Amino acid sequence: MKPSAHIARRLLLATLVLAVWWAASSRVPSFVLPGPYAVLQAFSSLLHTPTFLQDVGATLARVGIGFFLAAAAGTALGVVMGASRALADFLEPVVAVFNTVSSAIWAVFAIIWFGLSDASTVMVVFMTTMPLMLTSVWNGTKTVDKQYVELAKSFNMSRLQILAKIYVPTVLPSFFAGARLAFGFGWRVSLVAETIGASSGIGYRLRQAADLIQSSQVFAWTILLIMFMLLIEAGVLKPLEKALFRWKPSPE
Amino acid sequence: MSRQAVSAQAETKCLVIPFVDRGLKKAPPLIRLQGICKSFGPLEVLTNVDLQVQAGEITALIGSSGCGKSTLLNILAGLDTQDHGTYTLAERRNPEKAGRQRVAYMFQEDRLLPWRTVQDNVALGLEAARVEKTERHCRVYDMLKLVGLEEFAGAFPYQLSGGMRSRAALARSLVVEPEVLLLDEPFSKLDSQTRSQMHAELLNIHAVTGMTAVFVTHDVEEAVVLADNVAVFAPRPGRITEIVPVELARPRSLLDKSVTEQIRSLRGKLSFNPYPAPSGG
Repeated sequence: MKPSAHIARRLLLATLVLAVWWAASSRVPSFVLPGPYAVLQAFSSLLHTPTFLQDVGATLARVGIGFFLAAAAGTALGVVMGASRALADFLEPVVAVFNTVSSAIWAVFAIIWFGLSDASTVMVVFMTTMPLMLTSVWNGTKTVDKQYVELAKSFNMSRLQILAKIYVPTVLPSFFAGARLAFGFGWRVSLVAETIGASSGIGYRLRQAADLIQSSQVFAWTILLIMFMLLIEAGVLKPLEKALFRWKPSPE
Repeated sequence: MSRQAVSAQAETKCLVIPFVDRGLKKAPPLIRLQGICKSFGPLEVLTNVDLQVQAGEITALIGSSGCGKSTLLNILAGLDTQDHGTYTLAERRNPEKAGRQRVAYMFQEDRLLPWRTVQDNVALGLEAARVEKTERHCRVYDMLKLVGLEEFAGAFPYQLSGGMRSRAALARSLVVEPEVLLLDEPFSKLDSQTRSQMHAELLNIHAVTGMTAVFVTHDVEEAVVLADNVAVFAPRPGRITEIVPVELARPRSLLDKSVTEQIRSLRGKLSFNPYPAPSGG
């Protein structure tokens, strides 16, 4: 595919979206659908709000802590379940239950247990992302090739060496895929948690804007979040993936 | 020692040193198996196997599938143990060098780790023995040169052809400078042309290093082209029925009459032979 054709298509799509948005917004009251210009104004005033960085920082910290704890616990449990079939069989229903409970339910419980605090959001992020990490890592341990382990043994490798040189590289792609999924998930549910369980942060501001029917504000936040996630994807995840998995044949 | 030899040694940091010194042919055998028996449950896999391998010799174990030849190889490798009988591997090398292994095993599949480059794959055994980094690089590079892969040191396995992967696997087995190289049908998955290239490669390395090798095969031609001795296996229960010496000069061409005759006569000794030798011949 030619890069120029690619860019042209993207530009066309952006223009179409803006045109439809503008046309639709001019037909309905602005609290239902604010126009592109109103949102742009809201966006710039948002960036100049004194609490802006505090709110973004608070949300980021909660997501970060929850995600970090979930990654650590999920990886540890995934490895343990991968190592012991009996334990995996024992714990599997728990994982299934955790996967079915809605993040909104965790948010309600979080408020009951922790009230309006950082811990509430951290807990919701943890509870929803931990099973994702666990499942990914656990599946990863299943893909370890017995032949490679036998090879390592023929070189008289210790258990620790086999873990570091065979298991970790095998599980890494699953870990990475799980982490990417979990981070995106954690980021989204943190907002749900903050709308009901926090007195600062992006979710809290969204709720405020909704209460005051400031639709343009809600749009501005949404655009900011989308931009942030795209930035992480293009600036961190993609390069990291490229560097870590150079050894994979590129799909044609 | 001549001055020239000394300066040549000083120039190259590490030379490929013959793994075993030759001229010890009359010494006691490097490998001695006596009365080896092995059963898996009620199944008798090996019964009363005797085998001696001299240092520097190539020995082929040949027979139909399920005749216990792979089990014998596993016993030689220490991946399995016999129920009865004795297995002695003579202690002949002094002093011990870091990262040296008594036996190395080359599997039927190349088993290159896909996430490692060729040089890191070859270095695996030295890493396991915690050989220091600069020495590791040096020895890996020498070995890659020996198998003609030095230009592909940084390539990943998926970028290599079947023959190159096989050579990388061979280098990985040889870098630990084993006294005995064990090969379990190592080239059976290659096309016939690449396979004969690998045979030439292996014989070349054998000539350079003087290594001892034991390999399992079901290919009579492969056995005759490579081996000094061919141990013929019969199945149920697995036993060695005959040890056939191949006293032909190398390289052995399949176009040579003496080679083809040896192949035909060996086929006749194998019970699974689908093409019996013409009667009266």
